[in-house]
Formats: sequence, structure tokens, C-alpha cells
Amino acid sequence: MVRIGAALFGALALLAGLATLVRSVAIDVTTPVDLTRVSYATSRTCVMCHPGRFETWHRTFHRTMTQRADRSAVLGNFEDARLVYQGVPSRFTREGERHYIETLSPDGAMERHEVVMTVGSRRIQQYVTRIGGRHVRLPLAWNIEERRWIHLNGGFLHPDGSDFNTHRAIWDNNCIFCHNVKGQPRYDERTDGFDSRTAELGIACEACHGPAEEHVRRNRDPLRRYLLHAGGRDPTILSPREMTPVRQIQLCGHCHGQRLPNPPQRLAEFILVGDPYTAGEDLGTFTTPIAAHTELPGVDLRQRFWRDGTPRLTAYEYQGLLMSKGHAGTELTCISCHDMHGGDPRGMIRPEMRGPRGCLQCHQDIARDVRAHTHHDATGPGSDCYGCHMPPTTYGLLAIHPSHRITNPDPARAARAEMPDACTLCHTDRTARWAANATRRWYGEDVAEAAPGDDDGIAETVRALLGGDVVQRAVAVNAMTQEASYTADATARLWGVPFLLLTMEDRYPAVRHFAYRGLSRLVRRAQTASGAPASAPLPDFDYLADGPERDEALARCWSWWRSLDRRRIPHPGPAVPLDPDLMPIHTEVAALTARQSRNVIAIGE
Amino acid sequence: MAARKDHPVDAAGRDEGLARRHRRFGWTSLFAWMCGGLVLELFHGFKLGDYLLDPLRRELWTLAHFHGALLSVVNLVYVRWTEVPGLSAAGRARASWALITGSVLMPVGFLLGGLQHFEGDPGFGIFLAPLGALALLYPVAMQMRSAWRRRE
Repeated sequence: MVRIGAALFGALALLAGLATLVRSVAIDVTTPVDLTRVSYATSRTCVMCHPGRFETWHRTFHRTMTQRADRSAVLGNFEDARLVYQGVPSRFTREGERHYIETLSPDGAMERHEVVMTVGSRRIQQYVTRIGGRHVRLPLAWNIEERRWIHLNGGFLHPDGSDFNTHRAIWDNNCIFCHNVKGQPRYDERTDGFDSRTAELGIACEACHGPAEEHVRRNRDPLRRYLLHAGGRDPTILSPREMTPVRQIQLCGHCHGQRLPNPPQRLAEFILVGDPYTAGEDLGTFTTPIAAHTELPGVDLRQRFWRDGTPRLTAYEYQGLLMSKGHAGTELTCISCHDMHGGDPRGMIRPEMRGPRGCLQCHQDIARDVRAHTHHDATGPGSDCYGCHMPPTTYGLLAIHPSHRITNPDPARAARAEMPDACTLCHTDRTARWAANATRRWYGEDVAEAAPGDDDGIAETVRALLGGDVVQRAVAVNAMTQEASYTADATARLWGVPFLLLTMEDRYPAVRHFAYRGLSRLVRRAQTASGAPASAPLPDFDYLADGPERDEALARCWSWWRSLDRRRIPHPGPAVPLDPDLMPIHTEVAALTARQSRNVIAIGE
Repeated sequence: MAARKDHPVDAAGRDEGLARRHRRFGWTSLFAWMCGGLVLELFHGFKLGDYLLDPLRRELWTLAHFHGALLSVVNLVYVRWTEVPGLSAAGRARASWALITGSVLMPVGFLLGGLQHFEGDPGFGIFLAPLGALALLYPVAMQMRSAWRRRE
């Protein structure tokens, strides 16, 4: 009896102890945590419990946004490679694990810098050195896709002849904020240098999920973990999907929406201490998104927006989404389409959200009869939701991206604002008037404005290509050479070649790059298609070569065009200033190019 | 309750019954876990993604197979130790049941833990594994005590 009693007592004591333990853990699980006071743990600790999530993040370009310059991170050719731009012969060398760039310093001498960090890993890789108490981004970069060195004029929007070191930038008070987790410049006024720190280089787990040290510490307790597995929300970590739509957008907008400190005096806090924002907080407490009307001494921010306020550079997607038609009050957020752990790392769009089906999931009234809505073939590019409602009108490094301001096409309004519109980005041979009339006919006067009265009869994309500013020209080149087009006949699209050749004379290396790359794509498609006349190979052209060398290459390209059998390329019509032999009508071309503005756009990357 | 003919109630007979129990359990369990091993080999052979591409499941099922087979052999070895004189008859019976219970719980815990698991943590079935481990400690402790006693 005594033994049974002792056993019963022991069992009861065990149960009571277990119940107390469970209760204390249950209380811990429901107690909120002030994440702004929590330290960062780095992704090395996350992988222990979240190997799958770690793996899906590890393959992204977020991870490799900033890296220490070891051999696994450095993509550029440092085997005594050379680049001559604007007469400056830069040299790229390696000694064991150390990488060096010899180039022109701001005081006019050639200097050799050791690369200590890399920035970027998708389109271009930039290099950061340490000069005095500062990390400095050098003006030379490795073009990853084309496997060549470039001056950053070839990626940013600056014309030839600008200061060679225009793109030298201090990493500590610029790049650090968005290309890392919790950047802290820690500026020292005494030394005029920085003692920069980051929670982690690159964009890692805690940029989105918040500081995790407390999460890691508490979840060493298996009982806590299994209570959470059984159902519960862990207050020690953030899940963006559980945030309100506004907070979700702000989380991405922290980097994908350029901002200024709010109030402006807060700038000192950013530079002396660091970025005060922690994931999950109200971004508006610390910063204000840059808009077309924002004043910033020394920088013309209007250049970064189309005249109607739509962003025309990348890193303004936050602003674009906030301006989108009917966005307020909807559940649409960045992660409705993008997935930080899924899809192709290029764009990080969930597979099911690529193409029209992404939109049609919600817009089922349109899905029932796509043709009735688009007035285009339901399976063709004319029925691509993104093409019309998020047209490619945004300039980013070496690419034109979809606008993140979701709008309805309105060609007349776009023409008045001197910005591209979805219709003529596909129908590159048509005028804004033609597009405006079609839009009004299909969607009514309430939706689309009346056609502009001062239409000179020139196809809108051609007009922008020859007479627009640098972003208009880049967008127009992309429109003439992108995959989506009004015609499936690759040969018919070759009428754009003479205009692209004219654009290869552009003062902006970035536009020349777009033009030659686009031309190559057009020609390749035509050569692949049956009956293509472009049998001779397109001559080479280096958009960063000096003027005389480019002129020679361009002359070879014109000779190549003249030598083609152009009779098989249909004339695009009266809106395109080409003679019957598909050569530019110089009087009309000259009138258009005279309108080109010579603006310089500080991208702020 | 009347005793079954093949399960004598005297001490010697009980020990014989324990030996038979471990012999039967050991061979049956070994057969089952070897079949399990064969299934794992088939998963490799036919490149079953649900197994090969899930490192945690793969680790847990490998552990299940390993512990299942090993503990089966331990049960077969234990046949020699059922009559150890340093333990009372009741102690021998408890040790025997604990060994069999542990030999079932531990590998089954790993198996169920890998069947449906969380990211970074096995499924709830894994709780059977530490319970099994505790159960296995009992016969080991009893045998260890008896071994020291005999030596004295």
C-alpha cells in the first residue's frame, strides 16, 4: 500500500511539475516582445531550425547584395584585366585572395585600391574599397551578363564627358541602409570617418523577420517549440504574412521605396547612429517616401518621376503601389505576387503569379471573357495584364522594369504628360492619337481622355526614341526590341533597326547599350524566324569605346543594314519617318532629335 | 485467470517465457526493421523525392531503421540475460517489459517523427523516442546493478 501511495504521489508530483512548466511556457508564448530592443542573431542561427527557409533565401540575390570580397563572392575578372573609358586605363588584378582595382582618383592620379566588399550579384557587381575612415564605392563595375568591365556611366544615366569619378560614393552613409541588415554608419565627427556596422551583410532573414536573438534564445526550449507547433503565434519573431497590408508594404518599401528622414533633422540619427526602423514598425514614423514634389537641395528629384508623378526609376516600387488605382483598402501587397522564398530569384515572383493568371485569380469577371475586356486575342501579348496595367516604363540598372503603379492605359493623358503609354509601347508604329481613339472607342470617354490635338503624326515610340529625354529613350528602345509586340513577324520588326542605329550615337552610354543589345536581339529573332533577310552577322559595337572607335563600328553597322535585302521587311506605315527604302527621313529625324533634353538623372543607387 | 499451457508460472518457467518473448520479439522486430531498410533502399533506387529531398525525414527514418534493427539484436542478445541471478523474478519481468517497450517506442518515435514533421523539428511522434530511451535505461540499469552484485 505504501509503495502504491508513493508511486501515486510521485506521479501526481510529476504531473503537477509538468503542468506548471507547460503553463509557464504558454504564458511566455503569449507575452508580446518589444523587438526594437532585441539584438540581431544573423542567418547562421536561423538555419538550425529553418533549413528549408534558409536554403530558399540563400539562393536569392538578396543574400549576395553585399559580401566580403573573397574569391567566392567576387565575380569580376581580376586576372590583369583592363578597361579604358574616357581615356582612363583602369586595371583589375588579384594577388591570392586579395583583389585590386587601379583607376583614376579624384585628384587626378592613378591609385590602386584593394577591394574589401562587393555590392550586387545579378546584373552588375560593384566594388567597395576602404579609403581612410570610409568605405568608397568605385566607379567601375563588372557587367555579369555580358562578362565585361564597365564604367558606371554604362549602367547609370550619365552622359559621356561627365566627371570620371561622379559615381564614387560613400558606402557608409548610402548603400549601407538598404543593402544590409540594420546598417549603422556611426559617423565620427572628430575623424570625419565612419565606424560602420551591420547586423549582417546583405539582405538576410532579420531584415524582414525582425531581430531574432530573443527568438533563438527562447526557442532552445523544445517544449516551447512544440507548443507553438501545436498552434500558436510566436511573439518573438515577425511573419510578414501576418502583418497588416500596410505594414507588409512598408517592410518592402523600406528598401524598395527611396525615402528621406522624417523630420529632416532625423538625418543626424541615421548618420551618427543608424537606421532607426525595425521590421514591423510604422515606416512613416522615421521616413517620408520621396515624391515628385519632394525638395532636396542639390538634387532635382522631379527627374525621377514622370510628369504625372509615376516613378520612372526602380527602388520606387513602394511609391508606385501606393499610387495605384484603387489600391487603398485592398489586400494587395508586394507578397501577393512576390515571394522571398519561392519562384525564380530573378524577380522573385511566385510561379502562379507570372502572366495574366496572377491577376485573373481575383478579377474573375474579366477572366470569364478576356477578349471582351482587352479587345485583343485572349492568349496574345495584348491580353497580358502586366503589359497594359504595369507597362515597362521604369529604368533600373541595365533593364527596363514594369511600372509598379498599376493604372489603366490612357494614351492621351500619357502623351500630355510626355510619358510612355502601354498601347504604343507594343504598337511601336502607331501614334498616341491612334491609341487614344481606340481606347476611347473601347472603354468610353469616362475612362480615357480625348486624343491630343497637337499630334504631329509621328509614332509615339519613335518620337520618344529620337526626341525624348534619357529615360524616354531607354524605354522606347526597350519597347522596340522587347519580346512583346503588335506583330509576331520578327522580320517585320526590323524596320526599327535604323532608329536603333541612330540611338547608338546617343550621348548616354546606357542608352547606347540598350540600343545595341536590343538591336542584337531583334536581329537574332529575325534570323531564327523563317525567311529572315538578316543573314550577315551584325558587326560588333562597344558602347563604352571612345568616340572615333564607336563611329567606325557604327559605320560598319550602317553598311550592314544597307547590304540587307530589305524588300522583305514591310514598311511600318506613314507614322514612322522612313523612306520606301527603310532609311530614316533625315529632316523629320533632325526635327525630333533637336527636342532631346540633356538632363542628368541621379539614380541614387 | 488460468495460466496458459505454454506459459508456465513457476520461476524457471517464467524465465523461459521471458527468453522466448525476447527471442520472438527480437526476430520479428529484426525482420520488420530489415524490411523497413529494404523500403529505404527502394526509395533510393527509385529516387523518391519525398524521402531523398527531405533531409530531416531522411535522417529520422534512417535513425528509425538503425535503432529498430539494433534494438532487435539487443533483444536477441538479451535472451541470454533473462535468467540473470542478481535480479528478482519481478525485477526480471519489469526489465523485460521495459526493454521491449523501449525497443518499440524509440524507433517508432523516429519513424512517426519523420512521417509528418515541422521545419527544423520532428513531428509530435518524436516524443515516443525519449520515452523509449527512458524505458531502455531501466533494463540496462538493472542488468548493470546485477552485474556489479555478481562480481561482489
